[in-house]
Amino acid sequence: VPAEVSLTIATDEDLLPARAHGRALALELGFSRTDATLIATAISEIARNIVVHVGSGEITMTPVQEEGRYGLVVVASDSGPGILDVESALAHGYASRGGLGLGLPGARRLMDDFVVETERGNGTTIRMTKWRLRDELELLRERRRALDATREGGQVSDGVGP
Amino acid sequence: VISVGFRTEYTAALRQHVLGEDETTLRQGYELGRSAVAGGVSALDVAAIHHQALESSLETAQDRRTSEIVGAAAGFFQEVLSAFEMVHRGYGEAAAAAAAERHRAAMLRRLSSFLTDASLSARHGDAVSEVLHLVAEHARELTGATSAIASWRDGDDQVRATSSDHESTAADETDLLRHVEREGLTPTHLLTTHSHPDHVAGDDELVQRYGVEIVKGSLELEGLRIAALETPGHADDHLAYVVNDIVAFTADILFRDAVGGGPDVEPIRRSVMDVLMALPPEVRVLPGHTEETTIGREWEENPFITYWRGAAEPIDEAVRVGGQDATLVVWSPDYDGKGKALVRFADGREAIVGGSRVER
Repeated sequence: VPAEVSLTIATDEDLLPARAHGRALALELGFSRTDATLIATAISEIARNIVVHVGSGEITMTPVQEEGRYGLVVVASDSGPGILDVESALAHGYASRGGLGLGLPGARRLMDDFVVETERGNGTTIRMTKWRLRDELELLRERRRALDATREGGQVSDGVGP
Repeated sequence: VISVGFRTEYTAALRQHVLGEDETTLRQGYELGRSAVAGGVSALDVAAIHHQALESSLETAQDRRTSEIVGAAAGFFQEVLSAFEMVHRGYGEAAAAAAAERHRAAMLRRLSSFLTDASLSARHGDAVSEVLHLVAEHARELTGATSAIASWRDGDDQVRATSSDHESTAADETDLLRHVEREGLTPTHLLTTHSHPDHVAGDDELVQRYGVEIVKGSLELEGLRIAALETPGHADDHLAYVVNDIVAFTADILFRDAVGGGPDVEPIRRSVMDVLMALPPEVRVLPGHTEETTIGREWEENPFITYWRGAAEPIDEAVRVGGQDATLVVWSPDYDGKGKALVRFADGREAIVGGSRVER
């Protein structure tokens, strides 16, 4: 599993290394080129949010492996004013263009898991994850094989009744 | 209207990208796509501009191979389209939400006009209990609820009528029998899933009428391999039947967007996650109530399952259930019109209950 990467986000220029690292980690983890593009796009959207609405923050990208599947966790944190209405920010964004589905709601839709923690005056932390698709399929197949083995072992009842 | 600037900028950016691809040129692609979305440029126009820009890149490339240039341009185009992808996913969600809202509005309109008719009819001297029964039945049908109660009060007098699922089971059975008669079929076996009243009502009648054999367990017939899977939790003796690995009858343990209710969550979780979710994703699921679905669809969308497999966070909202303080862990708003919930009590005990029992 590749190492975690942490970057400071303060200007528009900082989007570039964030995108590059996110894409490289995703490809190294075996994500498809399309998924790597979507991850780079989601990172751009939350990085842009930090630059435009807060000023500065940090983005950490961590490869994870759990229960036999690989994923990339991206955590963006800032110590800005916090988001007052998370629900609305996630549904419509809080920039005028957010209504189109760019910004936070856009990033949410490109990733698999998306959690926002925020408190008024205490900053915002966004934690978003994308899982490698083939792992999900492999997990299903494995459980299917395990079930077949159980069935052959004769554990299926024939005639359980009240 | 596409500005000349956009076209020029796109052509320059693509040319730069095919000459030497890096994150800077990819980012330019992403920014161009984003500005196209924000400026209302259609995806078709963007595709046409891309094609022209690619042609011009090919013309000016001297010694580079066409396939290399086309390959690099594809990566650039994907970046451009990622902004469209983001917005497109949003439209899907918005359309689904609007459809649900329209459905609810239509339901309320019909319910309200029906109640007006019913109150007029009651004033005209029809038997109150009869009118109430019609109201309850109609309301249950309209809302898709498992039961509905209509009550009427005049001073201290109160009359109530209830319509519940048992009647719908009977109606379903009538439909089934009509189908059997029309197709000239002879039922031979009756597979029982569990011993709750709404799943065994009418069995005697079927035995008398067709001489069917009541079966509770796996069965092999010509061309049919029916596997009984032990799926306790909602009822101790609950079985799900899988026919030829193609279709699963899950009775009251797995529904579209919900799972069976019960005071003890762990056996329900095991039955759903370890037994049913191990089936291939394409298996059709025909539950004992509400709409059909598939294993794969439930794996992706069912809020209980996404929570159990760690793909969704618990809701963690303080609620009251049957007069007790509890924490709402999972909420399925779409199940049977009333919702279904996984709740945790102060002592750590968990339960799956109907949405109407949860005070949020």
